[in-house]
Amino acid sequence: MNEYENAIEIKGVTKRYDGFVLDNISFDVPKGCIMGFIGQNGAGKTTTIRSMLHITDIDSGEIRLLGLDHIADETELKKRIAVVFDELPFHDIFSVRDMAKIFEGMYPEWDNTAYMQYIERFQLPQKKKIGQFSKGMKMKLQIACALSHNAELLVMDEATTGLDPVVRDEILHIFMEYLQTGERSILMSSHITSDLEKIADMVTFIDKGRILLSGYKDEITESHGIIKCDKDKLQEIDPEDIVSIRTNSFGAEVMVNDRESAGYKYRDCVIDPASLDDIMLYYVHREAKEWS
Amino acid sequence: MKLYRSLIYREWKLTRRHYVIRLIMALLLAVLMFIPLYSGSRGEADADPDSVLVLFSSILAASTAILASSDNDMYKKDLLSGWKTYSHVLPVTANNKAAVSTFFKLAGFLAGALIISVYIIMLDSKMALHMINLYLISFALAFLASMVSQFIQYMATDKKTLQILRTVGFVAAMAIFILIDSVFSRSKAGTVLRNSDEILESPEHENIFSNSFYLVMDKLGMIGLTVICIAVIAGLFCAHYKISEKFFGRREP
Repeated sequence: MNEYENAIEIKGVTKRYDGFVLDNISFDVPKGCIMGFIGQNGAGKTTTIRSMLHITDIDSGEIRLLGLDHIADETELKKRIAVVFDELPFHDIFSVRDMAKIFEGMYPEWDNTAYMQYIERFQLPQKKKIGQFSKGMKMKLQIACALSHNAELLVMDEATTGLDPVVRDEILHIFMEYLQTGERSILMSSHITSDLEKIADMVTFIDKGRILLSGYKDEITESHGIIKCDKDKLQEIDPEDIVSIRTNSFGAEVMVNDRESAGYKYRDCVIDPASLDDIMLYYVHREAKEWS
Repeated sequence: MKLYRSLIYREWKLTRRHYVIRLIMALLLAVLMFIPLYSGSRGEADADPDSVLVLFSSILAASTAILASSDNDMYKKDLLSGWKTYSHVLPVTANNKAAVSTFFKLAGFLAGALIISVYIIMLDSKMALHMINLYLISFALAFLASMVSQFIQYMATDKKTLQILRTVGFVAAMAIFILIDSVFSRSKAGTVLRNSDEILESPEHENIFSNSFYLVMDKLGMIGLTVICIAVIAGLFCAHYKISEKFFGRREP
């Protein structure tokens, strides 16, 4: 098995569609990390993941997964990665047992014992057809399949969307367990930032096909802040410090990208910490500058 | 080998109903054709027993070939379930997928050939070679039409385009049959059939029909024809594998 530093390396990837461009994006996911991939619907998360997994061809750029080229070493690579989509891509007539029979021939490291342990833990019926499963059960099955072949990289595209909070929490807990060895990495795309707040080590924000921010979650949340002020005070804030301004009938809420420096510059203002949700929201409106 | 076992298991589980229904239809057809021949009741009293045997056997050979070569709708099933996209993230190459798809076509061909062989053995027919050749010709034609229809469908990337392309594929398959029919109708036997109304009025119609019948029978009984048909079918299987591989390797837009 090859040595690698970054589980995912994306360099200058461009993919053009009619009316949408994934524009020269670059980011890395270090080995052993959970990377949250955040963006609103249509921002380019799924296109990035599809490009990464070679479901679609890219126009330019370079992608390396587990230190291997995503096209030249595709078959070898795909034995070592697992993918979970937002919808279950298995045929309705299959049962849990059928899926085990199908995957055990495909993955050299398929572990039937581990699979059955997940099935029991998720309380999934073994003989029932998948078509009769609820959405939560379908997602659990997909995750059980993804975690049963000792994959080093787990890629999830909106995997927790549409699930109730209890199931989401259970699944997030399993991902944390899965990472315990330090040898495995996760890229988790979602627009539900609360999930990523809980488990992500790093986050990458994407909007309109461009990467806005990428780095350690704590560094990003700590460096950003929201200044609450009236409209007169707003005039004193240096435009260079502002990501965007949310106006309301009482005044304005200003997101700044250097909270520490803003604390010195605007001593008489209250600066609240920013959540991932806030950061996404203010960055999405950065071009309008002022929004309400 | 384990990989192929998995892929075959998956495809068999999804398509076994398709194959079982077609097998039952082919067997039922064989039984229906076999009963009158076995019981000695061969239709109208003045009908030539050989021509009745030829007619029944031809229908059986052609129908079995069409049933054996029919598309099992795997592409449609995979596209609609999302497996087609998912399969790109699995360690399965286009080569593996094409091999399994071709394997199922080959299995259909062999199952059809087995039914025809059993029919020939049970009837102890003098027309074994004729029937084999007829099966091979019918299979080659139906396989070609099925391939055209199947590969047109493979261009679909979603449910909507799939529905349109299935219709286009059906029309294309029909166009192939019409083309073949027009080529056949220009042959000597085809001309006789086309002008049968006029020929029937002629006092020598029995001779004319009989001559064209024996002409067809002579050609169908040639071992050379068997060799050509097998070569054509082998070529079609290779083409099926190569084109499937190309389609399965294609990435989504």
